[in-house]
Amino acid sequence: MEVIGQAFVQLLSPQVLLIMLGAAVYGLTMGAIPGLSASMAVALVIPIAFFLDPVPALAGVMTLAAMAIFAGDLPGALLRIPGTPASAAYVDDAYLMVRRGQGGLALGLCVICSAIGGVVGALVLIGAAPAIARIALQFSSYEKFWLACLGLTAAVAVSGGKWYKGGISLMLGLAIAQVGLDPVSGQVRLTFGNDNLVGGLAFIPVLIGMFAIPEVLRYALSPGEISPPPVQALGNLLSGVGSTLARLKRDLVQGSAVGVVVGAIPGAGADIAAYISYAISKRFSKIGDKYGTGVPDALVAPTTSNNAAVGGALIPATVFGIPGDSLTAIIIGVFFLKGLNPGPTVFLENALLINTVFVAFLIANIMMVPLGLLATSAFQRVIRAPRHMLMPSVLAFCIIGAFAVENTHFAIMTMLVLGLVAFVMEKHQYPLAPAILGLVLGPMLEETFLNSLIRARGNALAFVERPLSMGLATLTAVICLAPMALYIWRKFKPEDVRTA
Amino acid sequence: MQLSQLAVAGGFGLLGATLIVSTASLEPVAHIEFGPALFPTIVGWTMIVLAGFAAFDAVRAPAVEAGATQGEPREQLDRHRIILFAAFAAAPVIYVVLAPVLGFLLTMPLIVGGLTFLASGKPVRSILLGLALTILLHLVFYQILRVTLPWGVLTNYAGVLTWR
Repeated sequence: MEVIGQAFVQLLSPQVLLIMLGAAVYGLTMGAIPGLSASMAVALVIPIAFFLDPVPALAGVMTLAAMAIFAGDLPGALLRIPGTPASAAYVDDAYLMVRRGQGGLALGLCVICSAIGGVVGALVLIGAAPAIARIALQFSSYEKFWLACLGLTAAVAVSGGKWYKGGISLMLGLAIAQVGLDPVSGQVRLTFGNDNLVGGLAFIPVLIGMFAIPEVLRYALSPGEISPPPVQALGNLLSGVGSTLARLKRDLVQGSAVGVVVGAIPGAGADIAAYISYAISKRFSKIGDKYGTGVPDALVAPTTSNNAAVGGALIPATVFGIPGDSLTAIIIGVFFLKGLNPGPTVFLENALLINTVFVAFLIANIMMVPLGLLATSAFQRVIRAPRHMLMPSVLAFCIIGAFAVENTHFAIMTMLVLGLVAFVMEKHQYPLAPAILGLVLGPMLEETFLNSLIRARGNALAFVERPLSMGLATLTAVICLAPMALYIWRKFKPEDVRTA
Repeated sequence: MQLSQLAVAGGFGLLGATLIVSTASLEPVAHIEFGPALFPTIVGWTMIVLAGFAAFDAVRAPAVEAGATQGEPREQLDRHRIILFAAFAAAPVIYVVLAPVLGFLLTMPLIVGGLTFLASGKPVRSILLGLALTILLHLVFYQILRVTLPWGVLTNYAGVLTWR
């Protein structure tokens, strides 16, 4: 508790609060603009965070992540275009409520439920992460290896689409992570004689390239503008929210619980949490067929869930260094940049800083209520920013962002090449999240794999000798082999079974 | 057969092969049995196998445009879109080539203004956005964050154009 108090004190400096406020406004703006995801918003701000002290930088990034996920609800409700994928599950219901003149209630619910979900996620994070870390301290390199494998296979399994495309995306991330010095022997590899690659491919240009450039290029191929409905008076955003939440308190609890649990599963993330929460809420709803026709019942659980998922995703991210989704993977990248290396020992070696990050996330979610309410009305105009002005500006930020951290034009070219690769991948339904997780977890995976092999003198059975490593290995194998077995069975099953 | 899917799968297969071939000659260092080639080799082979699955599916699948769903009309690419795509994709390269010569303050308005003009056809708005965004980026990254942006031909005026 003492460390939590110290963390609060660290955050109460004018500089940190100002940066959190700036990050909140930026996060709300980026999340509210259709097509600009929360991951992209964080990726674009990393070059600025790089130059700040650790506390303001990390507090700013946590604030930004919380705000951007919520802000995705705004264009969803007003334009029927989810600002971030996390808002997609309930976009139709929110939009129908706005069209019916219940815009104030819809957006008020989004603000309050997002804040409640975020606060629950933050409290679980503050309580659970150190406790899990104490258990994780007992892990050997074998368990760490299997844990990384489990995180990566889970990321592929839930990435959607065809499993082998998720697998290829993961391998691409692992391949990018191998460029430069080998983590065990220190030999240079995969540089093809280019000195710029000896230190590896820079993380920030890769992130900016993979998350921002495809969006810009997609716009270039279909540059049509979105025609928005006229700006309308939303009225008192808090009117009716209290009574609705009192009626739907079970959905509020369900959304928070599902968000934290699903968020903590590597690879799942806020969007999947929102979909699952929506499905559960619909299944147990008392309004039957009216559910999904633009009623508040369809908003409460999923909008609580997607914000709670951010806190849930930060549990494996901080305790094991395994990100729950691409947004957390980017946040972990910022942790590394600021000298905060995720893992169980971070709670011993850097307890104050990691708790400051958690408390910053809690404060950000509380700040969401006033800022979200203020922003909701004002942002009716922001979400109408013409894309022909927005996309060249995003590209300019990408160029200068990639250059700023590395101070070399090679970083700009890295960003462009990876951006083009990501664009082609998305065009052909290859998910990008596994690549980012592979990029973040690649060094840890290789290091634990080689160290374990060296310790075991090449005996592969040592990887499954301990009960915990055996359990993790089995779970990984099931997640890995199940879709493969299903694929082969579907392709080669006899015709009579197929038609039966 | 989906040719573009097949080409992408082939590209990934080739990347896997490159990983294996380019690390094959790396020897383990003394006292460490497992060398720097082991992990890239595993990743390379896994990528080749997975790319094989992707290629197999691409060959068996009906020939439809990537990303298009059944019943959805295929969007035609017109000349304007192709030019816009090429301009956006080439902009970072143009920056890399021009910035050391012209400097950030001249290159960035050209790029932002040019792209906005191509996208919107509105010259005044494009020029204003190019100038305003360049000044904003210069203030944030050069003046506040102290990033050494290139001055190019404006090097002699660097002291005049900064406010500290």
